[in-house]
Amino acid sequence: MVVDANSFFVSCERLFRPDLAGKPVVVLSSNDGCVVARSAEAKKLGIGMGEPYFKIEGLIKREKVSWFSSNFALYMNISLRLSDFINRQAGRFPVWQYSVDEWFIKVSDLDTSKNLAKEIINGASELGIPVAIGIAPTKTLAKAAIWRAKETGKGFYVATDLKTINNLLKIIPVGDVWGIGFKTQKKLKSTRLKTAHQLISLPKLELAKLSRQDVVFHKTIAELKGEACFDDERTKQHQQSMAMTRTFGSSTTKLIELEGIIAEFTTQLSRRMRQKKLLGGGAVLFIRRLDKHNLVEEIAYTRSYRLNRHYMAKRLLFERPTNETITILADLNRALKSLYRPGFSYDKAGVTMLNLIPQNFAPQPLHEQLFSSSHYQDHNKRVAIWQTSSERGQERLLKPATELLKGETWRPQKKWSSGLNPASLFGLPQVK
Amino acid sequence: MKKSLNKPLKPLEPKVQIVGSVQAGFPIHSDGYAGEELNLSLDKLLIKRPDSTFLMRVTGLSMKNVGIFEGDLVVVERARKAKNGDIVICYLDQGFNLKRLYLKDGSATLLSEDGQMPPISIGKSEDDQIWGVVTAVIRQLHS
Repeated sequence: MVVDANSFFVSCERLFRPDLAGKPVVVLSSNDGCVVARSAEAKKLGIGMGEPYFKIEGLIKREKVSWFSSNFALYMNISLRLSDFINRQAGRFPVWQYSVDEWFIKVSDLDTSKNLAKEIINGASELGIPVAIGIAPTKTLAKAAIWRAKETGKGFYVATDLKTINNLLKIIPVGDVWGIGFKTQKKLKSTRLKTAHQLISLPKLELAKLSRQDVVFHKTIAELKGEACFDDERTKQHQQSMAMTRTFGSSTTKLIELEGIIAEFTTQLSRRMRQKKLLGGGAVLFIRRLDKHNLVEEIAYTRSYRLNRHYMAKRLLFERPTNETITILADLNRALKSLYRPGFSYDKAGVTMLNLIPQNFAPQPLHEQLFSSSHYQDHNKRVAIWQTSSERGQERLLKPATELLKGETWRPQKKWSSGLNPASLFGLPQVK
Repeated sequence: MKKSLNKPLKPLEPKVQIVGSVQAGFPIHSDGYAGEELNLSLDKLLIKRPDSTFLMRVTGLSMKNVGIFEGDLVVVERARKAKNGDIVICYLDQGFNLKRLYLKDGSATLLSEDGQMPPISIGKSEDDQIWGVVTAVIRQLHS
């Protein structure tokens, strides 16, 4: 069974703007670049996912569409509430949160599923966030069921018997099947396959021709045939990498500011790694350079993509797996200095931690035992400091000093954010 | 035993330490309390349904006669059904309002508690909505 919050970001915004119920609403991405969420009414107006803001500006104003900058603090808060609620309702049945607004629940029998679905739909609508639910034997089929639930507008669809499943597969377009990506879709276009049913009816040889190595594709087909392949084991596997990327609100030419930004990324990523008890084996750092460095203002103004933008990246390996902020930052800073050229503007940066391994799996490097150098002792001392500060709930107070160097201009622009954050005393909704 | 209660053991130490000493205390019978909370949680006291409870900041004085002032925090239960006499959060004219709900003969009226603002009858506009019920008021005197 799968639970999916419809147009989730829009629902979150509407929660504190009940007057927008039933009216077209869109949410824009970081820096207000393009559409990342649309209400059903906005979809009907033909506003596409990912459409750049400047393209739909006219339509938005003509059709009185309301628009918001994305406010992730709010969305995460509401997602957490929904998640707590779903987990509590599910009780002994395992819940797998797939994304900020999707949950899979493995339920033993159909009657229990139906009751649980009703409880969840009611509870979520009491909170004010509508959800749809699909019930089927496999995850892919459940996602197909939820597609139908949304199509029919009922918000609930059960496809557990063969006949219903077959009928469902006969109407769902191949492109709407969960797990069929853009690339596969392109390939499928040439075959003139339309529905999922046509796809799974292909002989094995044909299927193999379509994609020889794509494991997900073949698992998807098996799942459509009712064989559960995307088991929860996948979620138990630890995360392999972890990234933080931002396009700046306005670009910068200063190394010192870039250093500050990278420091903040590092602080956040290493904190997350410590929370998840992971160590990173290396990282990739990138910065994006604008080749006409005097056109900064023009970019902010038109958001044109005509300018040449160069990604410059460096991959580095840590001396040993770690999640210690200062150690990682020292490496990243060296990499940053090697990428940076003065006189250019930079408008985007990102850090990805690679080769993550669970803390308890980390091999003790031999040479550390042989030469317990002061270098390693310092590292271990700092690890201990992070440990105690997090035990005391003071981890956020500790920051590398470079983090203070960054100005605030790089922060993504969010001109139209509601600014609400139920989790902060400064972001609470106000009441007269 | 009696001696130790009447006379400080070490007269030079501050009294606080002696009061806290084991000899002056009562033995603790923990048997009866097994499994119970060891402390009172304000969260549990004030928030019955955490998923659908929100905090809001009061900005006006329309409820001053019932002791809700500017700057107070109100605990709002979104999923609770509003009853006659409840203090509620209602959404009116694109904003949240704090009012007393008065239900009579199927019509709903919102009353201010400042002795000034006139009652507002709701349900005229589609957007009017009782958003939630106030279950507690928090006023922090020191932070």
